[in-house]
Amino acid sequence: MASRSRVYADVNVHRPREYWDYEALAVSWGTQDDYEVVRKIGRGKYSEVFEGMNIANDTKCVVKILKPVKKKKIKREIKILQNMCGGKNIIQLLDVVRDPQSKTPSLIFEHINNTDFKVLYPTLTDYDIRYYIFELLKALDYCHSNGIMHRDVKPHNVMIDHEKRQLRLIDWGLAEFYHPGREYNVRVASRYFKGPELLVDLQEYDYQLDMWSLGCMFAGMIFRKEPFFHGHDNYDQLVKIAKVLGTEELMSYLDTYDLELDPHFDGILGRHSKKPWQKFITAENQHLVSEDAIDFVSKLLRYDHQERLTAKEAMAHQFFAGVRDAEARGGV
Amino acid sequence: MDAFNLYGLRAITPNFTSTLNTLLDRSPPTPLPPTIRLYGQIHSRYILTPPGLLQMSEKYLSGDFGFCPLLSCRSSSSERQRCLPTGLSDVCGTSSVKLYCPKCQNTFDTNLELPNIDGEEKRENGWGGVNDGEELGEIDGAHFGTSFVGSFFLGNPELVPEGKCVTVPPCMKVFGFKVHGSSVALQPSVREAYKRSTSKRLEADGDEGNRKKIKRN
Repeated sequence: MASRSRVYADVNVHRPREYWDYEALAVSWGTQDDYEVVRKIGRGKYSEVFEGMNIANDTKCVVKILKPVKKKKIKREIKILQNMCGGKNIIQLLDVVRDPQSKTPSLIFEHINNTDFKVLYPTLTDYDIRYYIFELLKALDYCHSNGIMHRDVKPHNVMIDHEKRQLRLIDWGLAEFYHPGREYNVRVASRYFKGPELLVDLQEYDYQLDMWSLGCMFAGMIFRKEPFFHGHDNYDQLVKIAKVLGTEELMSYLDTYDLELDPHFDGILGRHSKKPWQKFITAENQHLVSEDAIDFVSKLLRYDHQERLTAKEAMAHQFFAGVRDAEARGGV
Repeated sequence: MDAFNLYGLRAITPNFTSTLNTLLDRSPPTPLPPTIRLYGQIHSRYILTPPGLLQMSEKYLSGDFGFCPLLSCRSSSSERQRCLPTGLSDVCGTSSVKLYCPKCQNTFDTNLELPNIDGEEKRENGWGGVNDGEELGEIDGAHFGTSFVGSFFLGNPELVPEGKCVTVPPCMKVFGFKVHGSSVALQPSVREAYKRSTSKRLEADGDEGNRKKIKRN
């Protein structure tokens, strides 16, 4: 069965070509003389990331130096960041520069005083979690409603300035435009956050991939288990998921989309019944696990991407009633 | 091998596949100069990767790159100051590799003789043998590149030598960016605090490999 996004399916169909045709983008490179690097703050597969300083106005920034990859990929990231510019809780791209000698491109971003999630998450209260997940949903609904899937949602890509209670979704290097009917590369997202669609090679996926990744992140936060699905490779990742969501349910998902499992799964999948979410409650996490939280996670972590809550539906869930009220009163 | 180390080299290397195969011991030798050139270009990228930086820090600590020719340039324990190799350009054929002293921040030719004090172990910078080889010629500075020294100290701020380090040496660029004056890679006072927080963080992470690295220093 073909799959088509339940929401925002035709956004790019109705936008002018230059909105999504990133290969046609002509990048106007700025000069890197205004920026200096202060310290290394991270590295990814495709980049080195430094805290930087804009010496023209003496403000901090983040310098993401891109490793030499296909021009097409660089253009895609820049085009998406430009399209997303000003979106709620989306990292702000400030400048695009290039070393005139080596032609190494770098992206300059706003600086966020992030606390590492491994340090921050264990200190978050039930309300903090609701607040930040709601903020993250705003970013996701913004990009989805603009025809873009992030495809790499995970704690490492969510910057939180806890003092300012400010959240930013970063690293749009894997993000892609959604075009209904198009088949996408399933080698995206980080293993623990890969949706079942990627693991069973369903290429016609959509925005709802991000909602699975969000579900994994949320489950990790409320159950204090990071990562929540800890697979040792991509095959084992699906096995870890099946041990929670059940193998019967996996089979009916495969039936729905007329998919067959790779023979590699023979003998490693086994038979598992669906595990009730309550079984993950422990003395350490019970203060974070409410009935609403369980209802919410159970509606995100579904095999079938079409069954998962969309970002907009998620924001309307009972779990966020308190956050919505506080926002209506103008507080955080 | 990290595929990024090869990206874009095909376009600028004649007979790329056979030359690469020579380097990988898969095929008969290709002409020496372009083969060395390709090796050097891959090398300059490799030494910026985490495993490359780690290997380079091991070589630096054991003094493999040589020592500062200035007699007065000593570490706090009065040992000769160790140096790092640096390129003055990322373009092959521009100039030979130089030695950069992170203490006095001078850049030297690799063939300078080390002055000697009576009773002290005789030292030689180990680049001579290669410089003498007629066929090989001097090692091209681009095989180390201009980003290496900066990346090295931003990646290993605990290795910045003790003492005054307030000016930013012009060769300390990282992919064309200058290192900012406030960087922990340059200021010893900040460095101590950084070292403490790093070892704490690494212990919390249980990061075996890196912890060993910190202890050793």
